[in-house]
Amino acid sequence: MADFDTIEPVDDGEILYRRIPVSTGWYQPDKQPPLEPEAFRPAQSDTSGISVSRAKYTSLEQAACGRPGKDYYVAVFHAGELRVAGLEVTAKPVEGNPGHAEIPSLRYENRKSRQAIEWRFLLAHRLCLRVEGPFHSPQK
Amino acid sequence: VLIETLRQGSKMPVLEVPQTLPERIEYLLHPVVDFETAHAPLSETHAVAWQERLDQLSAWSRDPEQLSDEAIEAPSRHMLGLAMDVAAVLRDRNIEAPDRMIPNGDGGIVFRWRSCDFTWSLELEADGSMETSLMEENKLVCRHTLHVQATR
Repeated sequence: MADFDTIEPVDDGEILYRRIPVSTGWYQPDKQPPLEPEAFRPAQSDTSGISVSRAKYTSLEQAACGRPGKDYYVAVFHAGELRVAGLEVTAKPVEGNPGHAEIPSLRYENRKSRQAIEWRFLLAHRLCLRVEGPFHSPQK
Repeated sequence: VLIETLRQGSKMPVLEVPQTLPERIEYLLHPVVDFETAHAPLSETHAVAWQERLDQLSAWSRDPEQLSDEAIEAPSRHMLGLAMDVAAVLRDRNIEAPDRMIPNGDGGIVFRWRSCDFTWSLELEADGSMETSLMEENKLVCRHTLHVQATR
């Protein structure tokens, strides 16, 4: 459990990472636009927001680390630009991952709202600075 | 022209609930596609593109788990079968193959077409509902959903 008295808020100047499984086809560098909004669709477990990693605490390779043996891209964002677009960004460190953060604006329960759909398109087509990878998650 | 028609407003009947898959697709696409006018047959390029989409769905169907990940639900074989049926109906109606066909991350499949600033999506949800939506750049212009289960 995180110590909430010592949580460092996400600064506007911070860089954020969002992991994207290669297998989904949500990022295809040869397509235009290459990134699809499904990469930011909240999963059932995203009850308080979709997850991102803070570059301040997390390397690209760490942010890309997922299921062993699978490959991942990492979409890169600027926290301040997300906030200008109306998206909240909140630090939410978890055990073993002090750089974990969330975008509470995108939660499972509001995933079908007009605003959530428009934000997902905005993230994919306007706010993403670049996509890095793919990175391979090593077998354990 | 088709997307402009959808952007300007739907002429969809609201009281009739379509039951069969072709009826459901026709209902959802009615604002975009005039099914009463015969369409020119698909070019060979689009016919090949549809075959590629069907081959992709078939490959996913052999191993749906390849699409699953942490918190990402892969489409079931049933869903992929439904997506193949939808693809076949669209192809047989001479609709161009979608620019993208991807899992939605929640057990469903998305067919997506793009034209200039417009993005038109047909989404098959895990619960059997179907939704069409039109985006102009990053703004949602309109969407229509059919919640009832399709009969295959």
